[in-house]
Amino acid sequence: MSAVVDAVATSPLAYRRRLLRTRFLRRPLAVASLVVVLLFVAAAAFAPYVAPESAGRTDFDLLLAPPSWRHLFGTDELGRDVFSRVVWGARASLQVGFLSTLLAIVIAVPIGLLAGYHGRWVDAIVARATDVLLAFPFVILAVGLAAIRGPSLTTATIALGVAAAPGVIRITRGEALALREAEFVPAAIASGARDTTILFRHLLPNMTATLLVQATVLIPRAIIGEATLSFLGLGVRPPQASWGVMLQDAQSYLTQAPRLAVYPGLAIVLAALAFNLLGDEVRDILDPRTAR
Amino acid sequence: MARSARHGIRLPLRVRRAAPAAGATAAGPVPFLGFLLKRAVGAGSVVFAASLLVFLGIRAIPGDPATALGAEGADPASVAAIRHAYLLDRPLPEQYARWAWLALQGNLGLDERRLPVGHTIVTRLPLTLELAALSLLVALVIGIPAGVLAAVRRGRASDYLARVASLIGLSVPHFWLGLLLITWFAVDLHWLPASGYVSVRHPFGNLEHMLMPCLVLGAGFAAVLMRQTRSSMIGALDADYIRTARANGLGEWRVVVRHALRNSLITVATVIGLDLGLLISGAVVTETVFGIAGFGRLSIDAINARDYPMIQGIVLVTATAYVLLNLAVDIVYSLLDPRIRLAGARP
Amino acid sequence: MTPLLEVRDLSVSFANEQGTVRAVDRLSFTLAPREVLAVVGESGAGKTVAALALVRLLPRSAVIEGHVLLDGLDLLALPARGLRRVRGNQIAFVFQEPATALDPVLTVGNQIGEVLRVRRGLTRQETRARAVELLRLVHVPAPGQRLGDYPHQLSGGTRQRVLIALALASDPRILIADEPTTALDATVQAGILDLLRETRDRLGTAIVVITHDLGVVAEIADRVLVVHGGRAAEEAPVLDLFARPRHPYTVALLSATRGL
Repeated sequence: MSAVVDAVATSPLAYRRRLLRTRFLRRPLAVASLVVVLLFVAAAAFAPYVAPESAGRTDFDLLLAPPSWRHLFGTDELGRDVFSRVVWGARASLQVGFLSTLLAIVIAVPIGLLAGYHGRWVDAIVARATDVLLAFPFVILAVGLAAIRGPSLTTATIALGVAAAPGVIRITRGEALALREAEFVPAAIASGARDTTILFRHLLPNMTATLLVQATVLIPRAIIGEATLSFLGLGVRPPQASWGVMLQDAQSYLTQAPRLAVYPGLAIVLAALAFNLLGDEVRDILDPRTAR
Repeated sequence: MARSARHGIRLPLRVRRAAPAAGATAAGPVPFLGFLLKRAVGAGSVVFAASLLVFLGIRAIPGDPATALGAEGADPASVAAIRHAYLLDRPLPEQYARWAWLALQGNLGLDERRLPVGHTIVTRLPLTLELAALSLLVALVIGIPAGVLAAVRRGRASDYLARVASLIGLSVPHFWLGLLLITWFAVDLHWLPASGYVSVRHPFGNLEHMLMPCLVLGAGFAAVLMRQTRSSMIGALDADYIRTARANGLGEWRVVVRHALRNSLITVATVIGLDLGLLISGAVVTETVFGIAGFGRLSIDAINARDYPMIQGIVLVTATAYVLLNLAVDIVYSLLDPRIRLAGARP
Repeated sequence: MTPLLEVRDLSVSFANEQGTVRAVDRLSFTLAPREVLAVVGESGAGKTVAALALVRLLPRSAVIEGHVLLDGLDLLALPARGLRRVRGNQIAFVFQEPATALDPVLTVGNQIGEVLRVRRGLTRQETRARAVELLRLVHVPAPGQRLGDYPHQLSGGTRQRVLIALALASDPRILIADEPTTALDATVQAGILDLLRETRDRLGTAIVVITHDLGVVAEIADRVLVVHGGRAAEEAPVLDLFARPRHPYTVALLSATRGL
């Protein structure tokens, strides 16, 4: 997980918001990626209305059927509508993506803020703890968690969230360190503000841009991570639908019906691409060095 | 008011005569060895903390720890044997000490089939190491030059192309790519084998089997490297010392490679260290897709078989290996950056 | 006497979101051989930009217009290869921040040696000897030892001297020093100015000193060019400038200093 602090300016909040609004609409790629992201989110949220069938409805007369008007992506080895399963799968995959990122941020931001702001021994302890967390790659972490509580969507969420936390800790810490030297901090201290107030009312709002960019990097990683874990049998379990589970099922039918692997895979690529592109665009917009 | 030495013009006293500047400041007193020692101790403490987590993790498994640690069913003899071996009736710190002591000697217990865990891991590890090393090589060979090119030709067609390529590389699950490649090249075209592994003693066969897995795993990592190299290079190319080099008439490529790249590689090296975890995770799934019986595959087999002693051994070995690898990266990092080597601390 | 360097109507503009910014507006001046020209003005007046424009050391987004004639050859019309030969060889720079102007991962000897090797194709020993000679020229004590040091191990004053040595490594005819004393202690500044003067006296290099400090101007300049808002405000021999300033901006500058 890359933990290098981005060159997002620590410029005043209002200036950045204005930048974001005015420049964003002028960039077609940014708008397009946002639209795709929202489409996926909508599909996941409104799955019962978007998907023609439920995820588990089987039809043993129509196994491994090719695409048709009734089944846009065809059917799988149990006669289930692939298109519906992709939509329902979006729900599980995006859920893991968002929740694990949220978990990472909720854990990491307070720790990072404390480490960057207080420094010295607090920082040293946090650095050690981060190193320990980093020592467990997310798959191995999932293996361990699955041994303790069994594989499930929650297991995958926790594993991915914990694995992503160290990166966010480092970035938050870096930002806190930089912002600590800013003008308004000594002013706030001089006017008698308490530490927690300074942290949450002054430092945190100035980091929202960086955190936003980080989220757009972490969510697609988590989506791919969920696919990986479910594919390995450590996350979402069949017959529940997620893109990773579908890929695992598809593995046995690669010769007969490779499309079973193509559709969920494309869904992953499209969703991850949209998030990554959105993140890139936002980062470019907020970078003081780019001219437009 | 002083009189300027040259023209007798009266001006406020700003430029004062003084002895010529002294020579160098004292060189960093902490030698490289001290730096090394510090990092080694740090690494040791991380391994210790990680082992604690693994130890507690095993105890967190629902049910009797004795069963988790290898006792079969309700056979009282084996249960008693396990209890005795792991001191399960003693206080936790004692249990940990015994377990850690055994682990340090390489004794990681017996797995589900009564085979020594340590031995199994050691036999399977070289395959994964080869996969990881070759993939890393692929990633370095593709990613770093691409990043340099993109930074130098910033804003032009090749930069755009490289960024698009890396964006796609980040968004494609590499194991899915692996599945597709198997379908095309192995099943449809029969150019490459679909799965399995051939020992390095048969280099051509080995290469045949490793080609797709390494490309697949390496390409994903290459995308990460390319982005990191590009952003580091852009930062480095903006630096003052680059302007100095250009002003002194040095050729553009010399400036880019000798100055900018050397400085960027420092940041890139740190990132590689941090992302090694991604490589290990990727190795697990790549081995699963391509049927390579390596260390990564072992962990999946272990979880499917509920083989807790094996899982425990794998997690411990992975964490330790990761910390040691990072220590190695730190050493490389310090070799590249003289500020660390001489001062013993991060700038 | 024909001028060594003749700058005619030099203009530099940058494009940004709001439109085009003219950093330098039709600046003209000349530089005679062995002359020390001080370019004075407040920060942001375009002095550094103009200097960098002479050898096109500005970012790609900068638009440079006008003529820069060195011995009759227009530098702005030169292709990249020819320009590279001018940089360092004919016109060399000493930049403002010695702390960041040197590559942190290469030794002093390495960096000086690099410039020497590219230029002359000397052997290793010859390069080393010449590097030591250069360091001695700029009065760096124990020059042989300094060769193996990294920039961060040196004091600010020594770093500045190393930068000057680096600039002199190619035997330039013109040395442009951008705020050579600003980043240094007052006690060290005098030494650097002495060194610049010595360079002109001993090596015959023409020197352009960019500064906002009139004290420096008084110490070292033969002629002065006052720049205000990217335009030339006044150009005169130094004594004339101080005695009979003509442009209102020059007057303001002088009175601000005198008031101290």
